[in-house]
Amino acid sequence: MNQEWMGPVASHMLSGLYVTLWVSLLTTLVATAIGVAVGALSASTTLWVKFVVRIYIDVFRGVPSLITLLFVFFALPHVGISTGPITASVLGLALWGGANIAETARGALKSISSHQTEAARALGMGKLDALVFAVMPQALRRFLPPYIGQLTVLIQASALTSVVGVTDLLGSARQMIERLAYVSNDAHAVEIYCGVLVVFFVICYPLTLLSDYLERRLRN
Amino acid sequence: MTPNFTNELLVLLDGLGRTLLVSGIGITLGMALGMLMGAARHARIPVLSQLIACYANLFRCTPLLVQVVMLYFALPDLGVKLSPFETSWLALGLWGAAYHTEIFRAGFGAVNPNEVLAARALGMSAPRAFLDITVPLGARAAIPAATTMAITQFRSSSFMIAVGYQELTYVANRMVADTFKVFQVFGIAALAYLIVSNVIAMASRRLEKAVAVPGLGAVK
Repeated sequence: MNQEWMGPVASHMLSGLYVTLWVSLLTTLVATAIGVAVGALSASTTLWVKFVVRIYIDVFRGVPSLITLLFVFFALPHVGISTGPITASVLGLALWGGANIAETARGALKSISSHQTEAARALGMGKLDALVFAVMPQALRRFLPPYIGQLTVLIQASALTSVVGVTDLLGSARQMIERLAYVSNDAHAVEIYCGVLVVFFVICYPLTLLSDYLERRLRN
Repeated sequence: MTPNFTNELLVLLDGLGRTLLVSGIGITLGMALGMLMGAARHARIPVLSQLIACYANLFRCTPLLVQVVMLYFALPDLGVKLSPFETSWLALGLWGAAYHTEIFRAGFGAVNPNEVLAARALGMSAPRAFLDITVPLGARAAIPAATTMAITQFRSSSFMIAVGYQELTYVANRMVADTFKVFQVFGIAALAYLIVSNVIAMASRRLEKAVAVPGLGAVK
């Protein structure tokens, strides 16, 4: 059996994997920043802030991630900002992921009794101090398990970047299959796509186990 | 401008129709498979139960987009050729089934075991008690989570752009590339996704109320 095709495919897909990891990392960071900030804002008592936060969360959670990605991809150049497809993808996915994380954060903060805030305020803490030092640490245990679950969703969503032409793991796999189909009569599509599945599984499965473990451990 | 706009709306509506069609089939297939596999998991049928757990983990820890692309581009190498339409509903169904399995397993598990013991004491066989007691009560308990998953499946039908199935995201993306009306076209598409998601959620809440068993704690 001829294994010669594997070498170039593996090295090209390794660079694709690097892009996938990079996009996943950036998306995670931006989405987490948006999610935590918006989630904290949802604890605000100002009516219009609550309203804007609600609209953002409901709209971006209710729309397919691919729509937000394509929207940012086309809208940025439309308003005169030219960025590469990777930046646009990260922004599009992070806006969507941020809404999901914000909803989790909102739920976690809401689950902490308002007496905690009142007690902290009575001890002389400012509003922000009460939120950051009294409520947030308690909300963390409710936040962490679903948050890690959402990270796996974000990592999987990074594959969507191939739709706008990013050579991520999936994009590089497709390129190699097209190339192999062109130079030989066997594209090895089954083996190559199975490789992509395995890589995602190896990354995401431990994270789901961690999420399940944390949920069991932090339940009480 | 106006006849042109009407024309574009019709094209988008046409895409929405295809989105609803594949989502409808995919959700039905996913729920049916999920219920069967959830029942097998609940009954802890040896070997089968473990195989189903593997199936669920494999499909949940890999991106739907990769599964879709694999069904369409790799299966022909194994002698199975699917059209974009067949790929779309099959991928949505198989992927959704993995989540619905866990949802229905949890639903069946939420049924008070005393109900089943009472049925057995009245002379029902174990399979009869499962079908007449556990399934109707467990399915009720599973309605909220199954609805959330159904809506996720509906939104994820946008991924079928990758195999060229002309659903809503596909036609919207194509239209934006042709007309540069980024905000209008994606705005309308996003609105359509939001409206349908909310209609599904509302219908599910009605169903939940309509089938609620009075005085039964498991169903609120």
